[in-house]
Amino acid sequence: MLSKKVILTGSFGVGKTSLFERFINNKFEDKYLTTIGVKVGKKLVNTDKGDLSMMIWDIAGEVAQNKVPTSYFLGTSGIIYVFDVTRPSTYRNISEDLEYLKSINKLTTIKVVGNKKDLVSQEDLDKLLEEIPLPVNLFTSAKTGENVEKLFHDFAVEMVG
Amino acid sequence: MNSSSSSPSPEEEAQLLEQLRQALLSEDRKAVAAIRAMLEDEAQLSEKVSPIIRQHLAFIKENFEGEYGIIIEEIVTRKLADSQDEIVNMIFPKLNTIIKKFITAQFQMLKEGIDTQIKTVQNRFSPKNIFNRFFGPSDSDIILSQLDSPEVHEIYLVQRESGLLLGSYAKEKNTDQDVIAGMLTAIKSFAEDAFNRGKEDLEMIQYENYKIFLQNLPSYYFAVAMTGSISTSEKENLSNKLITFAEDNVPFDTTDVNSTLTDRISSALSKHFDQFNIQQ
Ligand SMILES: Nc1nc2c(ncn2[C@@H]2O[C@H](COP(=O)(O)OP(=O)(O)OP(=O)(O)O)[C@@H](O)[C@H]2O)c(=O)[nH]1
Ligand SMILES: [Mg+2]
Repeated sequence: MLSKKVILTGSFGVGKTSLFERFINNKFEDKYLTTIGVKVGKKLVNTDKGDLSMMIWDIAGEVAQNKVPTSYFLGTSGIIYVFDVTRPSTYRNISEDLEYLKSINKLTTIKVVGNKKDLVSQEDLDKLLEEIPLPVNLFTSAKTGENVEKLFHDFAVEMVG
Repeated sequence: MNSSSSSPSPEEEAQLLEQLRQALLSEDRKAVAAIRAMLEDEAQLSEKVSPIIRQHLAFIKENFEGEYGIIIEEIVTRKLADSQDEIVNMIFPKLNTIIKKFITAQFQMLKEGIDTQIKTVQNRFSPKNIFNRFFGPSDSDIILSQLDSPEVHEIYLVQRESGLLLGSYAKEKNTDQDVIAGMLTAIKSFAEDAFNRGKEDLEMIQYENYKIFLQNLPSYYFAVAMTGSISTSEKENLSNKLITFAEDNVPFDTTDVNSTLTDRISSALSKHFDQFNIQQ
């Protein structure tokens, strides 16, 4: 079985830890407890192409990605860039952030995820898609669990294949 | 009448012209005279001109910045550039004290920053948690701290950048080793990044009576969890043993980490370190 590292990043309070907890422990917490440093978790993901031991790094959110220690992004097979669909400030610098991440780790796959989908309507999402200069891979809700499994599972399939 | 119908004499012509001029210009002359009188009489002049000046002054007052700001700025800038030396001489003594104050304040902040950073590093990675995970939640720490001879409890072989576990050895069973390897890598990266910008490797993480000895190699590192105190020669011993182990048992290319590889390395670690005596 393969092992791969995936990192959750993005601004503070966007729901990285909530996605992590939902995926690993199937739990959701309404209270906001900001992450200090890094939390590493593990989950075995079964795919048609084989199984994967996914090591997930949930890091403290930073307003700009260049504030995160560079080494956290090294050796990752996937980066999940999370933003909050209700807070434009969390996706305003998305282009610069992604440029920066690509410059650190050219080989990694980056997925852009809009979280807290449960708080907005489909029209809001459509409007948001027009505003964001880049494609959004998935809209998720850590609260309802919508698309969370899919997010990590899709990643696992790409990594195993 | 004949004479009158004949062409006028030059004198008559001049006189006629003068009469014509008088007729044509008499109105203008009157106006000029009035203007002259007004110009010569201050009270009259003031009455006419003051409102206009007042209006312009008001305009200037209100629009000075926009109308003249740029010009004045240019002048000031030029003046400043021309007299840099004088200005420096004038400001320098004041500046000197300001700089001194600033540097003192910065040092104070730096000092406080380091203090809180140390505190945050401790909070962030909660050494207590990590060490508890290494050694189990038992009260072994109290007992172990009384024994001073070094003892190896667990060994981790970790891929440097990813923090993925390449193999491990533990005296007592520990199921969380993948996660510990990741956390250790995060601490190591954080410390190396924060304190020396990644130029040097962290060699030892110490917490109360526990130590994690780190042996760095180009693409992976060993983390050895120990108790007791370790001398320089013992450290050397351990280091040599680890490097030899790596040469014999760890493949050159470990890009893809899979369980076949980690199982193989783990059993080799058990074989080599189960009976290992650090003091020999
Ligand atoms: N409604 C809703 N709330 C969410 C969702 N995901 C997270 N939250 C809430 O948003 C807040 C922040 O969530 P976290 O998961 O702690 O955010 P984070 O990105 O880990 O934040 P940092 O650790 O500070 O970087 C919490 O109060 C969560 O309950 C979601 O999908 N829907
Ligand atoms: Mg968090």
